[in-house]
Amino acid sequence: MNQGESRFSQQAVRAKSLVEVNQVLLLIVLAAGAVLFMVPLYLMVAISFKTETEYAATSPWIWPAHPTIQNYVTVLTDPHVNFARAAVNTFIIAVIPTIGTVLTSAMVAFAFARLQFRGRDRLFVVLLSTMMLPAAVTLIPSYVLNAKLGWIDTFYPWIVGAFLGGGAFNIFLVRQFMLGVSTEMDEAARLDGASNATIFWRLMLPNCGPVLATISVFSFIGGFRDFMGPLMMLNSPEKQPLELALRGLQGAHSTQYNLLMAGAVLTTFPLIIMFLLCQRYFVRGISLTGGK
Amino acid sequence: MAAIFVATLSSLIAVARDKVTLRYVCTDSAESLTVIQRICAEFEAAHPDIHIKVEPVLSGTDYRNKLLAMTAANLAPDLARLGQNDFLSFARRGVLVPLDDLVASSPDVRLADYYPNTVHYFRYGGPLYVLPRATAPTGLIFYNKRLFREAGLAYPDGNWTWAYKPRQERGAACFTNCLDKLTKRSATGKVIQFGGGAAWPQLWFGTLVLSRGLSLWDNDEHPTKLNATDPAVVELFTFASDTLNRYHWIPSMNDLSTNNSNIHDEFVKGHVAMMQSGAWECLKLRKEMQDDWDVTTFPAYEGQPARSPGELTGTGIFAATKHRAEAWEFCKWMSGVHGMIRLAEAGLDQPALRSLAQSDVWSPGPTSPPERRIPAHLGITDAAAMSVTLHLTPEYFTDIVNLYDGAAYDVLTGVGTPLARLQDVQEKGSKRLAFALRRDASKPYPFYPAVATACLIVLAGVLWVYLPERKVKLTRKARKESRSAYLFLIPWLGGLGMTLGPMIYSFLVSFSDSDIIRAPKWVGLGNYVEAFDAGRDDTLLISIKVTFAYAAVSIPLGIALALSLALLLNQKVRGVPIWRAIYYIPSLTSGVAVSLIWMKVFNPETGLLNGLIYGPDGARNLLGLGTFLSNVAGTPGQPINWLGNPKTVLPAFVLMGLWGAGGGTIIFLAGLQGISPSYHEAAILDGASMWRKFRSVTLPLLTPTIFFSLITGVIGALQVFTQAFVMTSGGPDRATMFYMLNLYNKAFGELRMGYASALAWILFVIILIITAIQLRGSKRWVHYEGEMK
Repeated sequence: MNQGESRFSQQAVRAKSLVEVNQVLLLIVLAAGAVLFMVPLYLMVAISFKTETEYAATSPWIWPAHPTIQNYVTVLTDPHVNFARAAVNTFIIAVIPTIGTVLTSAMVAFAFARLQFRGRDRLFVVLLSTMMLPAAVTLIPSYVLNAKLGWIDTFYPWIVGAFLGGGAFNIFLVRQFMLGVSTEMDEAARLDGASNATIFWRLMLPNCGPVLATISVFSFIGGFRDFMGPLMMLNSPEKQPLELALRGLQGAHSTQYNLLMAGAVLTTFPLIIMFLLCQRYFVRGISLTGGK
Repeated sequence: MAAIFVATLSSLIAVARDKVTLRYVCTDSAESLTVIQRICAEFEAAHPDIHIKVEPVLSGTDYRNKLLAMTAANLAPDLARLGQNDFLSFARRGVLVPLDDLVASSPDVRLADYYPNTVHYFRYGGPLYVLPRATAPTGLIFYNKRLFREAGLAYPDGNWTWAYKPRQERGAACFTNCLDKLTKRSATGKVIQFGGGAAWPQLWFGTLVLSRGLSLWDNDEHPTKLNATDPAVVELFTFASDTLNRYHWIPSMNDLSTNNSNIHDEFVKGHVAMMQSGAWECLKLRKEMQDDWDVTTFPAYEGQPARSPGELTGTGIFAATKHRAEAWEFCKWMSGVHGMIRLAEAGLDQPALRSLAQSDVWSPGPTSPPERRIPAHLGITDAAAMSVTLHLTPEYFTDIVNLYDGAAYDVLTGVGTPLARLQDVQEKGSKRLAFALRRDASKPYPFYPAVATACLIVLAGVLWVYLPERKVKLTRKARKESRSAYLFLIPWLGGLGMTLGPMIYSFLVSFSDSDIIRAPKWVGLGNYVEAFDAGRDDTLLISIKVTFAYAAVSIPLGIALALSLALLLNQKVRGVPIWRAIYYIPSLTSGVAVSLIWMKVFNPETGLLNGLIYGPDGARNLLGLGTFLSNVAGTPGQPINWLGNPKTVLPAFVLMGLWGAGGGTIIFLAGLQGISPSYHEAAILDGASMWRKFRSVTLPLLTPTIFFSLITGVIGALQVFTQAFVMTSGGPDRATMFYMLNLYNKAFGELRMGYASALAWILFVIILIITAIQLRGSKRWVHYEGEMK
């Protein structure tokens, strides 16, 4: 009895230390990989603190000898970048499409994943095929279409566009996730007379937290970093988002990379912080796990 | 938000009510925009009834495309800043106002006052379409005076010449001799100081061709014949290659593979004694350069007149303008004394008005502020501007110019011998040229049949979706479900028109010859036949090979890496949110920063990758990898030039792609979260091992996500474009000529939208077939927990 007890606790200790060893190993692997994935950030930050002279005269990999925040001051106060205004614009073309994408792509994905309807599988092929034609050849006709609608130099392409399903990529991703959720709950609910809308809103959405968080991150970053869209669709300088406004720091022949990197850092950190804040939504939805 | 919107809009309208508003589209950096806006403000003060709305396009590469789109959509601006190449695209299509009558009626504009070549090159078929504003000769040589003194050379005064061999007896009067004397080697034979270098690779090559007075084709207006294998051309290519690869007078083109060369930085550091570039360098050099420096002109070839490259800028009026008189007023102002003085004062633009360029507004003189008296001989830009010579060729010839550029690029990087590459140009180029000259695009596009076809396509699509299931009898309940499903599809079906419309349009255009602006001409299957005619142009085949090689490696590696990272980051470990964020950082980085970062990583001399493999001083040899790589893929004993070597450039691109694995990782993380914990609990109760658990529980339940990654991975990899466009332009030796890059070159480089659309639809069919196979195969391995029977 005594012996048995001690053996059991010995096992527990061994198991615990094994877990700890695993933890340490895991941390080492993660840290090693992280170094590689942090390279862009390091380079951006290091260059952003250099003066033009120091950038030209030293290796880009060396941390600045005399870090200066002058580049940040210049970028934030440049009248043509107009940082505050551009930040507002960026949020318009990042936040609104994110809301629209999450709502409508979940709806469409729900139909494809959970409902039976005529022509479903072929319509799904149509959905996928909209991703297959290179955008370069639809750029001009899309522009003309937007011009006919009077949407050039407005935010309508983002505002309206986002509520139109949010794009095949997102719909497809959410559909795949929904197909992985067990059907037991909806069948039970359906027997109780619940409508599709109820099942979608009450059962499906709460279970899709992780994938909805993923597509919101994608569409937020997509909007935040969109360059070609604003470049083509917007004309007025006061409507430019950050990603476009910061391109102004890039000259035709000579670019002040220290300024450019300060701009890049200023737009990257909010995204990192946002991503960190979003993380709790990445965890599996609250209770209605089905399956059990 | 909408309120802000309406408010801005209505305030704009209010301002515009009693004034004429002119839209002026330009591409300028923030620095020049300040000046441009000041000029506009001054113009408005002098013309109270005109308002100028400046619409900057903050990307030089996309500038023409945006103007083309605007023109195609009948939204062309009143005026635009146009360069020598941009203006031709528009002048040819008759969308610009010929200025000669306006000039004749304006006593304040005298074309004789402008640099004659600026006026000459802005004419097309006789009429003048652009009033010149600035000239930027790129045949300027910036030189480090200290290094000249150290080499015992007199400072060059512009009266120098170059030859294929250094003429020592002529001292500093021979440019080639200066290159030779200014190149220094260490005791070990490593070059520690280079004689010269050009701001971007093709500049050096292009200047040599111009200056030597060679014609690479018979004439510029209507080229019909190539002279690629002319002995004089071969001799020049060989010399150009030797300056880098044999004599090492010029840095070994480590940055040739990138459009942003760092010759500027090397010059500032004193590692390069002479830098060929344009006057814009002065602004940065004044701030950065510690050593004493000055500027002179590119030497003439012995016994030849001086010729050098340059970039011209001016103001053009679009024919669609409703305010021609007002637009001309602004054109005269911007491309006249008022505009030029402001731009010259800021040190940005050399005026196109010659007397202004000679005055101390631009050239240093007694009244110039002290900071603009450096460099002392900036006035020599007048001589350089006079020598500017351009070869402006028709659009059908762009393809052949690209062939030459590709050959030059390869020769400069040391890929292939000059003779072999030139023979290749001659052979392929002649075939393509003959075809381009024969191309018949005279038949009008059958408009009504096209509209009918478009309707038929839509109808056929609808029938394809519904007909097969029409006979299936549905129960009442099922019919109800089917109807309610369509309610959920409404948003997507509503947007489908906006996606399918342009798609169908491009399909119809693929049977035509279309330059975006003019009405398309009917060519039937011509574009498709041409695409597969590999004997004439093997670019399509090469691009398919390159793209599939890339996809075959990058898709499995990308999915494997994303999945492994996701499994790691799904463990219970301290600081999970932070780890996840770190791995996602590369995907969050701004597009402007990305290509710079990659250049710094892959640079053979100072890059991070070679630093790891070969050590900072080249002495290390990581696990024997250094020797191995150099022996297998590069030159033994030399570090790998990742982006300049056709064998390593594709692996480098795969590496770049892998860095973005964070996106795939969060998709897999979501997938892992979707797995009900009960399965794992059950597996643990059964005493399953880690591997067993992964193999039998996690992996099967992740198959929907893996399937998603595969489908979208194929689509993404086959459409890879940006980095090749920005960093390598398809080279070296077409090793990064991805499908999309070729397509883009055809669409927006040669303005052959019809042909590009045919290429796009060929790719569409390829992707569709692969996807169909994947969809069919998926039934066997993808496991859907909640599948409806």
